Amino acid sequence: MNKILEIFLSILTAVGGFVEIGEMTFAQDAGSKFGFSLLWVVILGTVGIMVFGEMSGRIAAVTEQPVFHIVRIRSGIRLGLLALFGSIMVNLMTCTAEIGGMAMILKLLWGGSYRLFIIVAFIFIVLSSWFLPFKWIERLFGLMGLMMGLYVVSAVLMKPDWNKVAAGLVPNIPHLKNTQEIFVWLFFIISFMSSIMLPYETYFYASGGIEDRWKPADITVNRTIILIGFTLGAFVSAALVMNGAELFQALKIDPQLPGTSVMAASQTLKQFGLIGALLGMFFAFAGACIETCFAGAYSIAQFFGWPWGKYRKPAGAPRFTIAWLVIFTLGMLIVIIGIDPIQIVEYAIVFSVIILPLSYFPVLMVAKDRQYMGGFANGKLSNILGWFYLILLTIAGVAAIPLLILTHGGKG
Amino acid sequence: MKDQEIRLKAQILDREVIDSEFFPCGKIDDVELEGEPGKPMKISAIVLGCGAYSKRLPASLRLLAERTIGTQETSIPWQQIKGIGSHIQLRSSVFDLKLNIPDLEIAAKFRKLPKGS
Repeated sequence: MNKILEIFLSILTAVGGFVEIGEMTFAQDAGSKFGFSLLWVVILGTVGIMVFGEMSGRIAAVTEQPVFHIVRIRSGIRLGLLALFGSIMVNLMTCTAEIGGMAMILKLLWGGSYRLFIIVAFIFIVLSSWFLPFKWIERLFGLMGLMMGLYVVSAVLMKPDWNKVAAGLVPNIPHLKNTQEIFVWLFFIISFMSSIMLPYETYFYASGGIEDRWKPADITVNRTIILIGFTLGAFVSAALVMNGAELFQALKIDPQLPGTSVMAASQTLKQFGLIGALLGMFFAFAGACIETCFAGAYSIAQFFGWPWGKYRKPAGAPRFTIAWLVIFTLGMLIVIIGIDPIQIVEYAIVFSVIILPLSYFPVLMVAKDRQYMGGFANGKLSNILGWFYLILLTIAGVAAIPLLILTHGGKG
Repeated sequence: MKDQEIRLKAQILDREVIDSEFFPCGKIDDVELEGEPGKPMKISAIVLGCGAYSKRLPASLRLLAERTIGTQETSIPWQQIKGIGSHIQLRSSVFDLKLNIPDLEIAAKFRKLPKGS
């Protein structure tokens, strides 16, 4: 019974932690620009994160080795350092944006100084990370993030044309007027997919498996959490696209700021929707902030072989603790000097697509290695999907920067 | 360890080192070899530390690494190796081998903070 409750809570945690500020920004923006036509990207991205999340969780359960340990062994020090540097940069940028997003929401809830709320958000996440055990961090922010489900309710209450929604779930090319619109469309496909497949999720998930002392017997738990949790999380992501399409497309509004995004929930669910969605966003962003920061610290510690893990307490893993404290502090400083968190997250998402192949290639190599994984190595389906996504991400990674420049960050 | 054929890249380099109590000590950043022409090479020691891995970087990065993170490295005699697997296990503890010194210094400060230990 305890095991079932554990799995149930883990699934809910995965759902509540699925969406963060980057995915929120790109999902609603995709809906406002292209209606329902990019809904299929939600499926593409979700299956991708499922494939690599499952592989890294399985590797962690079987070998007790996290992602950046594998990156170093398989890629060596030179290529491994490149992947590590890219991952730290993307994690820092995402963490920074999440702190900024939290401060924006606190300002919307209580009014007052944005900079003061940056400091409040910073203190809140540092104290939570210092005092709460790993399991509590996962559960608290994941379960509170479930309030993001109000966006799903809101999307349904807006009574969308379900035929158009269904048509959007199949890859399609919308009516595009000129080359510039084609570039913007391609930019949104890549960015939106990348926002769903952000690399920190895999690093954090696999490291979390080791923190939770997963064993090979937990592989089924791993698959269940990934399959059900991520699928339900994808509904929130799809609902954000639908809200963007229903509410903002006709008005030609780019719903990038949390204050604009929340209008979707308040439109249908009034004050309850407004407060609930703001709180949901706050906890989802706070959870993602801790996850990105820890993912960065995990990566550094695992790459250099330092003692790591929340279960060791700060004195048991000192350099790991310093690493996450430094990432939080840098994130807070970047956003407090006035850099726009939304702009940071847009760049973070574009750059993350470039580093995804660097960290996913070693994961695929190990997961398919029968000598290493024994009977737990990839089956045919995992290998086919793994290679498909690796090729797709490599192409997306090559195209990301030129499209970022050509479209002026997706603005056309 | 008994003499045996070892594949340096696949079995030794970049592997995680754990002490006799299974505590992480770092990664094998380099090895010291001994031998003479016509005879088999032997690993005499494993080397851990930023000074060791910076030598494996391209020249420009090596200089940057040495100036920013230093050149500290620790050589551990091959006789200290207890087992080679997914981790390389040592016969002694981190304290006996004086590894993880930076950790000990920071840990002492953390112990003074609430819930820091």
